[in-house]
Amino acid sequence: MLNKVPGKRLLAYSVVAVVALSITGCSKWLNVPPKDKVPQDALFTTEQGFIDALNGVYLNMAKSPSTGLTAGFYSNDMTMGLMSVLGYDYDVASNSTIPNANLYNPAYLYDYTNPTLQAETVNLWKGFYYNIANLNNIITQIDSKKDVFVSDNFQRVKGEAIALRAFHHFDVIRLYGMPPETAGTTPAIPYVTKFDILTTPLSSVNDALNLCINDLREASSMLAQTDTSALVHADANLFKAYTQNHLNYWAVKGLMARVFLYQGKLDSANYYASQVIGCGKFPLITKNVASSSNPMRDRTFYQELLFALYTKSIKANVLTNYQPGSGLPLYLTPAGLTRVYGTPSADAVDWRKSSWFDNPGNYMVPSKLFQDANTKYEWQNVLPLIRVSEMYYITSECANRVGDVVKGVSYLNQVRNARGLSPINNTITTDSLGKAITREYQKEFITEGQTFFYYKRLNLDLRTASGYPLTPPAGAYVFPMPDLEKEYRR
Amino acid sequence: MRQIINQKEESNSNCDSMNTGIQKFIKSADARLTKSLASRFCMLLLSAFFITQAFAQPAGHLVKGKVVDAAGKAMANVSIWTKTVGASISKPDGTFEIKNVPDGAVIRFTHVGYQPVETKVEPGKYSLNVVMKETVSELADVVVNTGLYKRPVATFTGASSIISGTELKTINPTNVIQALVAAEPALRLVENNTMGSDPNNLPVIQLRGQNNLPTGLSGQGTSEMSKAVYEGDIMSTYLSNPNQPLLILDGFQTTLQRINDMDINLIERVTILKDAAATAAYGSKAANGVIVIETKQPASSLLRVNYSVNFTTQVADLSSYDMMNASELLEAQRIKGVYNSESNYTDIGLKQWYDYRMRNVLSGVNTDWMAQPIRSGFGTNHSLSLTGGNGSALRFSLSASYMNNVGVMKGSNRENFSVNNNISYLGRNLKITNATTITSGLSNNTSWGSFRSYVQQFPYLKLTDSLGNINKILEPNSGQLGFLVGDPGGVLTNVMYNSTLNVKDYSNYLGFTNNLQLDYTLTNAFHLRGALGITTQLPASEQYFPADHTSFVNSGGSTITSLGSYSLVRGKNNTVDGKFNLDYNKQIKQHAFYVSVGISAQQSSSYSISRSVTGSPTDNVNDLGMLNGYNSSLKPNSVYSETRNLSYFVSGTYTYAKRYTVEGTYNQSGSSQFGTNNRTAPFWSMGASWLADREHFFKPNKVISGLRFFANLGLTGNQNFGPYTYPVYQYNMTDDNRLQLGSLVNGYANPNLKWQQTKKYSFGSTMSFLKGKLNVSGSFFLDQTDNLILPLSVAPSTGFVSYSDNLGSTESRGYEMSIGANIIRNSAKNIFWNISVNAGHASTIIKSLSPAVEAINKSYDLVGTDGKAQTKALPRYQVGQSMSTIWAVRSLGIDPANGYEMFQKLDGSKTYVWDANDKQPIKDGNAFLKGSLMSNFTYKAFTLNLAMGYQLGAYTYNQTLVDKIENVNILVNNASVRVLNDRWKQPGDMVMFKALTDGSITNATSRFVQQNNFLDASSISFAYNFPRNLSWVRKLHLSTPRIAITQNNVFRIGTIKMERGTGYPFARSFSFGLSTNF
Repeated sequence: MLNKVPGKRLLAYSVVAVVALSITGCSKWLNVPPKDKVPQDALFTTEQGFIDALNGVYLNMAKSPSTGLTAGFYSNDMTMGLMSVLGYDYDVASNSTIPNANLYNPAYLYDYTNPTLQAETVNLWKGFYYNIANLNNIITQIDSKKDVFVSDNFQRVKGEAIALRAFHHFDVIRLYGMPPETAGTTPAIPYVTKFDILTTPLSSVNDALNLCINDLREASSMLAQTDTSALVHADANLFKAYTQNHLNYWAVKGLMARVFLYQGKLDSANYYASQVIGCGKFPLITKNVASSSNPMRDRTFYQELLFALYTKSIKANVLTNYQPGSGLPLYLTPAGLTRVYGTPSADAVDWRKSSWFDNPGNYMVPSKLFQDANTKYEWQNVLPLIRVSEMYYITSECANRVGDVVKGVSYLNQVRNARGLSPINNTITTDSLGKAITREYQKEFITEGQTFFYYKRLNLDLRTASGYPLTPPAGAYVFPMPDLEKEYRR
Repeated sequence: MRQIINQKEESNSNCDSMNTGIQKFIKSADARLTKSLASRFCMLLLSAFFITQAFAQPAGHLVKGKVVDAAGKAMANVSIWTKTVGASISKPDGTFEIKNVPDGAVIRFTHVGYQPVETKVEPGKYSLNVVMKETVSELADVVVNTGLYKRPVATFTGASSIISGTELKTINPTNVIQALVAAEPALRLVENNTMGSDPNNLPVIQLRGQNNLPTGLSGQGTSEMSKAVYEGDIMSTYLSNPNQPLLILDGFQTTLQRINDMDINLIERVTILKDAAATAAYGSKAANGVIVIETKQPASSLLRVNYSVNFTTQVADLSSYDMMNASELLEAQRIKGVYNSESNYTDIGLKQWYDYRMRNVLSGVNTDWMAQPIRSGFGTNHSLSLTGGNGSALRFSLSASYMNNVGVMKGSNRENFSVNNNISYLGRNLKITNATTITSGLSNNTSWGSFRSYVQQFPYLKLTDSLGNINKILEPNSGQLGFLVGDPGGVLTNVMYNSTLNVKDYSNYLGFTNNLQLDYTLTNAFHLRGALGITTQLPASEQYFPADHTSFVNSGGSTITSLGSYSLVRGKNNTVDGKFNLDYNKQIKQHAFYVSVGISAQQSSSYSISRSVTGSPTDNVNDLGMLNGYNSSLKPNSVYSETRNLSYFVSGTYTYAKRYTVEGTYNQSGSSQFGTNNRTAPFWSMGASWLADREHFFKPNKVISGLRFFANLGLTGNQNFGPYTYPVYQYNMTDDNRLQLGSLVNGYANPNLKWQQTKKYSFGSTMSFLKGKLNVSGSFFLDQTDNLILPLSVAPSTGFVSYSDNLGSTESRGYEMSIGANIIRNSAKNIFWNISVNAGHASTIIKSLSPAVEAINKSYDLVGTDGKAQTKALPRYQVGQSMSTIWAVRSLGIDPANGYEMFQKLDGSKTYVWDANDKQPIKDGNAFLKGSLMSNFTYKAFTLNLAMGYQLGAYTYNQTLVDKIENVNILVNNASVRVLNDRWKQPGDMVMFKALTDGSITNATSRFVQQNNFLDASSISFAYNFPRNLSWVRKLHLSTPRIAITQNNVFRIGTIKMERGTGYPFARSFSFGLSTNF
């Protein structure tokens, strides 16, 4: 305890100093991303990572097992399943032996308090917003990583992501919001643009539609910077292949026409619909391509599709819905077929009627979406989400609603002509033309889930518009917001 | 205080007390040392196995002499240190000789328990008589080692227990954990009634209650890794039991597996640190307490060999079973109506079966199925160690041990083999220690299947057919017998058949550990320590069942080529630990300062890959590559986890006049597990202690001889949670978007996620009465845990349902007490008798929870409705309730009138209908008092040791009673004999059990909540030390031969009668040990 060595003491003090200093700047060392999973940081270091994340959303539109849906998201509920039942596309939805009867029977009655249907509407809500969260994550991350992209891929990924965000929100509005006529300024849905766990305040239907339009304008200007010269089919560059399976530049325009029309802004709707028709990239079919021999059968009229989902789960869902192992398939009775397509004498042979149904017995089973591996690859497993024919209907409706029946009829006749039907007379009344458009929606969009939204947009009486045999309950047009969502907002 | 007393007896030369240790480094001299430290160290390693006189000796004188104690008695093994010559020791007669000592050299004599003596060699005086005085026996001699720094126990302000290795060995000569739990009341072993005494099942331990919610509730502990891998990984082992105390082995964090498998003979002592003052320096890992294990370090001695062997016999304890015999079972089945049917045709068929089985019974078939998979397990432990380094600065030890823990079920055992070498170099200012351990473990699981399946087997079925073959199917089918209907219980398979097959079910590991420690004395006061530890472990496991295995009997429809399975796991666990500490110890008159500063960094990683294939039509196809292939649901699986921790601490103690002590510790911990926005966390503690007996006003008296008080509070953390802080993406492998893959975000990763923190308050006292004959210590504690990680529900419009956040909190409170008494202390006749009693209590109350937990409660309640059965008392987590509360519907017993169970609804009304909503807290499963009684009696060379554990005021849901009496399906399972005797039969019967004919399922009811008090004689041991002067001892050159006989789990007296060890029986073990030195 005697020998004092100042040098050693100095050393001791400096050791203390080193210890204290080495603490700072160590947080980098503590950063250990998981190695047996794909960390976001790693995924978003490459262009391919962003493309994969975008494709993840497209794929999840088809199927969403994590959200607990009965069958599929856009590949079933939003198209041939729930939405078609709600739009009274099928005559048999009240039958207890159809597939998923526990869901479709209450849907037929618009009984949103039924636990199964309620669970489905909750899970759909979760499905939409889970996809939106994924899109928001891409949109948030992409700007700082612009330099990892080559050619126009940055604009493609960001543009499509923003457009998809609008697409999803628009369907949330159409399901959970009041019909636009009656919606007023009541808070309706959250328009979520952040990847966060903080709750976004509710917007009214109209505000939310404006937000959709904002997103679509931004998406449109992003995608305008990409190569829009031609629709691509098979291509060595997988991401740029199959333009129609992306929410592409023209599909965004078509979607804008749809949103504007929903909002009642006829000029804008007409403007964008006309742009799509005028671009000439989506010509109407000129012969009955659907009735060709099997390998050439193009039941979905692929060239007319602005945006279609590609997913192999379509086939399984088609088989489940229309070819169940036991019980009845979802089908139309001969009377139902007449209800939609009219009597053969009144209308000439409708190619849609003749090619979209199989007749295994005394009922008509829709086979429109059954495009499996026997057909050309580009037609396979596609689920139409926006068709060019809708653009014609929009221009027709816009003209009709401002009293220009002649113009309205001419647009409608272009589609009728492409379906093998005789033209209708342009001397009819505005009201008749309106009904004719309704009929065309019913024929064209059967099993695609759009008819319900058509009725809802115009706030039509479901019974008279669709031929639904019962009086629908009040509120049939509006899905309830999930309780958990409401609870969290209290 | 029992520990302290024993510690005194236990200390040997390497367990330096603080002061002597420091002085030793200072006063000795070796000027050349610092010159080429690195090259010296290399040489040191090379020469490890060749202990020779490696150092040159300069010319000098021969110094001779004798060392004696104050009483003039010769002292052996006194360490003698000279600068130029190095170290040596005195001979048994106290004499010594040192050659080549130059004039003026300082010779230093040290011995534990004695004050060091230094003598300068004067010219001409080469014969020395050294008298060593005993150090004053006071508490300050004992040191608390927190694993990061050491403090004299007298000035320590925290609650800790010190248990010596020898003491542990007397309680249980083979298993460290069992021994620790018996010795320390604060430490609890969570009894696993299913796994019983399976040698391959690691125990679950808790210190001072459980601060965490059970795993699964909070997503904690969800390890996708195979057991073989996670048990060997530092991170995962804590994840799987978030209440597990931190385990420190020789300064480095380790796994429970390592402790479980270690040779108890190598343990020097164990320090259990319980409260904040003792553990705060560990920061974010300390909330569950710390157990510090020190192994024996090589002593300065002549070459010494220590060998001990233990033979252990384990015998299954089946006393808790009382199953029906053949005729009773058949009768019970008959009463139950198994052989009746309303359909005439079926009735006749069933009667045929009854007659067939009755013939078996009448012919005397009464198979004891339970005896079949059971054996007496004969296991051996060998431990050999060699230590040496006499007369040089280089000390070494080599040890090897082999342990074979043979379980009571045939084919189940756990084998461990380890080799350890420890080399240390002691220079003037520098001490370098390098220890390498190689361990290997092999766990074989029984091929006989679960013990349960033997308990349930029907005793009227024959073991083998008439030719003595073990048949897979126990009875001929109805076609062969010509009966009208099939077997009423379905096809009965014989699990025993599996033992005839070539089945593989084992796991193994190979581990390598290297610890390098450097101690450098800078100045008198400053002391620098650095350590680097590397551990690598390679775990593996394989399981193979051929198609013929009874588990595939019901895989109807599968093709034979897809039956059978093989799964294989391979892993690699790695840990690198580095530490750097600086200690400052200084005493200036009445003031004593102890300051420690340290930084430590740890990186641990674990990788495992598992593969499973199917299709082994015959057991000749028995290697992974020979099997048919993957079936559609199987895919290889790999898990990689990596964590990094960084922590630094400052701990200071100031003592005034050896009476008043204040202590403070600050720790800053950083972990890769914390959210990216909260990378580092601060922890702290402060405490004070007062040695009242050293006050001037405290007159020496015969009654109270020692009195110490301490109190402390602090904040510690727990980071036993998974990586929820990184956003990860998941690829969709089932679908493609026009040949493109898609990936989605997996969930919301919380970048704000924090450590869980526990605020600990503790105070206590140690007292010594009647000149140290009676020692009492007690401490109280209160632990408030906040920031428990729980799922938090969010609005679904965020895209997510919930995410992990710091939400829950719990509060544990309790106390520990121990009394130690020296009943007889007669050194003259060499009779000693010590008794100690300890008791502890800890209970944990939930203080807050997230709403998501309510959803979990609700999901539990749903069980029991819709025809589902709530046959177990499922937990419910409610604020204000104890974590271990048993929830059930209150029962009013069996209505004697009709045999139905009557329940009380929450509003007090009576009903016969069980409703999950009527569940209420019935009793707390936690013991009011848990502790142990120990007695240690020594008469001359004989020692008799007794250790008993007890528990008072605990309640248990008697699951086996429910399962074996009421919810038993006697169509397929044998049941307790009480099924026949104690169940309701006719109106007026006042019984505990429903009627045999009552087919309703018994859901969680208070009727089965029973008091679980017990007294468990955990160990009795008898040892004899052979006197040195026996002729055979001398002839064999043995130095301290000793035999010990230990019996563990001798008996158990309890208030509850329930089957123990349902999947694997509990065992009583009996061991016979021999140890000796050469």
